[in-house]
Amino acid sequence: MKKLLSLALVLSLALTLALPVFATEPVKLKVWGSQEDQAMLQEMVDAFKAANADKTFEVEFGVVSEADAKTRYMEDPTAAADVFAFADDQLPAFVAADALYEVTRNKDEIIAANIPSSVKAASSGDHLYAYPMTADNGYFLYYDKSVISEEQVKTLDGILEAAKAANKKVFMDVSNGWYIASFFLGAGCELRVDENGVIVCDFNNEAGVKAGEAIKAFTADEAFLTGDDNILKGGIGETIAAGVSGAWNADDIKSKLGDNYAATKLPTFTMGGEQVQMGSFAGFKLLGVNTMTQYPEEAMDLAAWLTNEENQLKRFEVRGLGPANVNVAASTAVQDNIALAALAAQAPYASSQAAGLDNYWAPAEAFGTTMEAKDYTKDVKTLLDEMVTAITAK
Amino acid sequence: MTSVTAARRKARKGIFRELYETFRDGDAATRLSFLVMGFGSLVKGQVIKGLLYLGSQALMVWYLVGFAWQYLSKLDTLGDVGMQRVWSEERQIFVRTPGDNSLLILLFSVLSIMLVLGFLVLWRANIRSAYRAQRLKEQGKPLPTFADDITSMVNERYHITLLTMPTLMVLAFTLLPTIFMILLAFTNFDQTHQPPGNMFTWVGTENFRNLFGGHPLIANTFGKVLGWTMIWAVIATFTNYLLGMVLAIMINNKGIRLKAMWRTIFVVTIAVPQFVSLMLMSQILHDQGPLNALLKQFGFIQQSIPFLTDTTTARLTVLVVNLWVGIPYTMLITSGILMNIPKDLYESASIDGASPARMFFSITLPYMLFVTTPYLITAFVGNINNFNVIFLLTRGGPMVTEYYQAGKTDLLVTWLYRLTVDRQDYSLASTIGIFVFVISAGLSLLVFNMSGSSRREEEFQ
Amino acid sequence: MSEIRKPKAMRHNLVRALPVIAVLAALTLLLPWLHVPAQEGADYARTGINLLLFDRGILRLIPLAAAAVLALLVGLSLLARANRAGVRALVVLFSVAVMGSIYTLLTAKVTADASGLMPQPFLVAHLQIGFWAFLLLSLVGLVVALMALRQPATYVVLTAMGVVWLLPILWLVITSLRAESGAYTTYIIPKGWTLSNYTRLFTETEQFNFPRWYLNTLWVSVVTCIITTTLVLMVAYTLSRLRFPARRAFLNLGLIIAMFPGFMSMIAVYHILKAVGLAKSLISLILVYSGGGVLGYTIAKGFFDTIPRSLDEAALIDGASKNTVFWKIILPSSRPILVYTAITAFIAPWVDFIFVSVIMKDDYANYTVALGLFKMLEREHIYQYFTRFCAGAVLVAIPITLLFIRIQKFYVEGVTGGAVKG
Repeated sequence: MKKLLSLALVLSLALTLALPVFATEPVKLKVWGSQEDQAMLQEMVDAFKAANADKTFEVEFGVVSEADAKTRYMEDPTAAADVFAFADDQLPAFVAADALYEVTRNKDEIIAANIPSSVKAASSGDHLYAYPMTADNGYFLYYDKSVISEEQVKTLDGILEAAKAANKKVFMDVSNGWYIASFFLGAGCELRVDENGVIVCDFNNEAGVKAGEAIKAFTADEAFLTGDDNILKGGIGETIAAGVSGAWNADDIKSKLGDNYAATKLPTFTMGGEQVQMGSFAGFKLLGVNTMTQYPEEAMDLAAWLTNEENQLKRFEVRGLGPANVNVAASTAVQDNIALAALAAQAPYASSQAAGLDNYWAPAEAFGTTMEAKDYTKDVKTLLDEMVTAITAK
Repeated sequence: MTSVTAARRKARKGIFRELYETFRDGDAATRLSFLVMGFGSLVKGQVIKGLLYLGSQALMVWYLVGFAWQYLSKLDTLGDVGMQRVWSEERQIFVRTPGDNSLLILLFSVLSIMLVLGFLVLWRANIRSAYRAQRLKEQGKPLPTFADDITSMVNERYHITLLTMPTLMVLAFTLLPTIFMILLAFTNFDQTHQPPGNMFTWVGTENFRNLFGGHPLIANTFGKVLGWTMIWAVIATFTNYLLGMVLAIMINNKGIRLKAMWRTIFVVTIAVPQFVSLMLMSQILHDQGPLNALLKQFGFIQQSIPFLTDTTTARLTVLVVNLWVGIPYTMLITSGILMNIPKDLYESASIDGASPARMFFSITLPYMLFVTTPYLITAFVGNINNFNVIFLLTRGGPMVTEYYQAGKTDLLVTWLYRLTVDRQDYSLASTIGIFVFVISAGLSLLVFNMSGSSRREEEFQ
Repeated sequence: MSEIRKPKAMRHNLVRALPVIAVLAALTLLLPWLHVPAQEGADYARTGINLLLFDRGILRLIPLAAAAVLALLVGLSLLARANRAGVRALVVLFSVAVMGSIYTLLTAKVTADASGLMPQPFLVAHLQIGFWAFLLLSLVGLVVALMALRQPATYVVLTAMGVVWLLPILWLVITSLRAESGAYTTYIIPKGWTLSNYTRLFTETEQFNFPRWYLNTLWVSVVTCIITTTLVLMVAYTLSRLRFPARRAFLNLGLIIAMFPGFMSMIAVYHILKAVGLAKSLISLILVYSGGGVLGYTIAKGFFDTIPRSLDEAALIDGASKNTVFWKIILPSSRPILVYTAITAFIAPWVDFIFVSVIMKDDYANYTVALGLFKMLEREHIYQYFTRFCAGAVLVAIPITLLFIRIQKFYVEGVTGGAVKG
């Protein structure tokens, strides 16, 4: 007992000497997460504090969704969070802005614990810049079992037909570059960033134009419906029979559809008379540590804690988010989840979300908007040419 | 305009001559005041004044050496040391040390230059005061005491008392930021040159060249967006003005009862904060919104009307919604003026048997146009910068492939907002901002200084 | 209204109006105004009256029927004896007829859709021409009757405009009472009613702390109001009454300085405030709003320009200082502009959402209501928070509306004349 006490005394003395700052004043950290995550984050951080009782932490939370992280961060990096969640497509921008602390503490453990593709998405070259948090930043098809049969759901034409028969709609946010890419990627087109950071995009080649025509036909269909997630969440089960969205809406859609809730991979679409499987983007949500932080070690430890196996499981249990952690992803609970199973079914056709696509979004949205507005004053080829010019400009 | 600059040039010449003559004619104390502020006053017994001058000089030196110099010295390149990273084996991390922050260098340099200019004004006042004290002493007259100076602040120099505080606030919160943003247009501050991780630097007029043809896509977008901005501003201003006036005339009509009630009905819609009513409108007019749903349910239409997503309808929609937002306001503004139109004009017209429409076009409209030209210009400039209506209704959409990061209802201001917020393309946005500023400010200055109303200012009193 | 009308002219006007009434009354009785298409397989088409009868929808038409009977009675009595009271009754009658036909349309929709007797939802195409004739003629009748009264027919236009202007506001209030959440609803009348949107604003405050925002805004706007009003009056008085060398330059600078797109300069303002340690604080908001508000001196200056100069000159000759003139002469006669300036300054913090977002960034606790409400409408929140947003908007709109009703008096009295005269 005495030995133990003296050991503790010596240890604490050593700590006070080595880290006088930490012994006297609390470690102040700020964490950014999305609105829905706030309560869960609070619990995780409380557990973190309990596990690191040797230091006092003052953790503050800010509501900034993964999608907005880059914009909010860039407004004033020194006022941004120490640890923040973001979608993996923002990684190159963050790296370019020298915003992310390279992950060096426990790097090997983190790499081992998470699926390789998520680690790749969190890396730039050989350097790991972020902590994989979820592996569900992709989309698939939700549908109403009572309206669309398992056979019909395999093709876009079948889905449209079934929806029309029931006087319902098929939802997809075509005026959004993230979703509209599924047609082009399915057609075999290429969208990536080369080693100089320049976007390579051939959506206006022969296959691309055919895909564009397919989009035109889809948007012209009377059962087609567009809008943002809120339209889908509001209408599914009532006026909407099927819709393309991601796992983050699973709970809302499940509660709306009840027993008729179903999800699967994206369908095939008719391209020049042939059936072609729709591609998609698949991405990850990551946690990063701000280079401006006053407490890099603690921030890294917190980020690692928030993305460890236990907390990724918690994310799945509380919010239904797909885990990037190898063990959690392999658990039966995750395997049985309908939405995540659909995401997994889509995975073979998904491209890792090409990062650094800042120039891509606005022109792609513009093309989708033109299609949705059924504005056919220019033909598809011309529009795609303009789109690609705008994407590859500057 | 030319006469103003000429006068200013003359005044500046005067300043230097005055300084030279003061130095030539001044005694030792006055001359020393050129170097040590307040010296002249101190020597001649104006202790408080002298100490204040001296104190301000000390403060300025302290500020320049202690704070401003670290920024001012780097103004030429806007920083040359980037953020450092050094591997620490002990801590197992790369230790980061921040480098130069171009943004802060530029901002605090501008601030310091403004402060130095302000200080120079004080310096000149100090010399004048020293010289005046010297002259008074030579003539054997008593020197003004500090109490005298205070008294003069509520009399001949009352404008200084009253204007100091407001001017300072405007300088700090409007002028300084404006100069800063104008300077940004000559830098390459964009996403890849974002402080503190990276630095930006001066690029001369590259952004301007891009905007006017160097970068075909941007130049083309700029031309088209500018065109729509102008069309929008003209139509929005005049429809609002005319219909608002018509509404005011209808309510002010002698026979109408419950005038206050009618006015209040329309006032309620301005009283609801604009962002609330516009967000509501964008919900109501959405493709899947209640208006389309109702029209479909009653069978007026089969397909949703793309109020906000088709180029033509979206442009019409923003114009119409702008009427909804703007008419009540115009109605209020014009109500008061309408009552001031001399009644005899109408009486003689109605004796001649003129119809109400004729009276409107031959009496009301000319009178109103004459009186409210400055207001019209303000409204026009306001519409060029009408951020809320466009941003909250369509966000600039529908986006089109032929534009660079812009949509068909985008005004220059909403475009530059998108460029800053979504793309951090500050330098390009500033360049556009300068352009908007030149159009707005040029128009306003021209009209206010040319129009009779400003010349006749004195007559009203 | 003071003119005394000759009975003859009155009767003449009535002669024009009465046939319309007769036609209307007759039309009201021609109730097969709705054509119901034949159901598949059925070999008959129902008439509207038949449909409404079968489905007890006729109960909904009782007010309309009453109006029709009344129309007939009044019309008949007027034929015998015409006076102003009679014509007034006509105006009321025609108004009722217009509203009645709209009411009928809605009733028909509800009844027909609920009856299940029609193969498809009720559409306006199913209305027979009789309905449109009725609506049109009621409108014509209303205008004619108003003209007969020598009342401006603009009442009709004003009413129509009033409806267009108030409907969105009404929708805001209705939505704030909606029980079910969600945005972009395809219906207007809620499926359930509740007050919980209001109560939850004040009870569920972990993320969206509405009461705190409300107090923030109140505090900021009160202080801003005091500072801005003081500064504006100072500037306006100086530029209106005092003559000094740089005056013209001040006038021109004040005119154009605010024309650089505001939110871009906000980035610089943010860094200045941050450098002095005020970023993300309410004080910085007060400074920014006051700094911006000062530039609104033009209207006050215009007002001061209209106060006769002889007043202050007399005082100056009596030995008063300019300071005394300002406090004792100018201010007392400036109550309207004082109130106007104060209210305008007070309102600014309630409606701005851009500047405050640049300054406050992620600091939710220091948001103002405007920014807080705006946040509720962001894509990830709107589905859950839209009804609460409406409730919050109503709570913000109430005080501002009351203030605006107060300042409209000054607008109308021509306080703003100074602004437009330059």
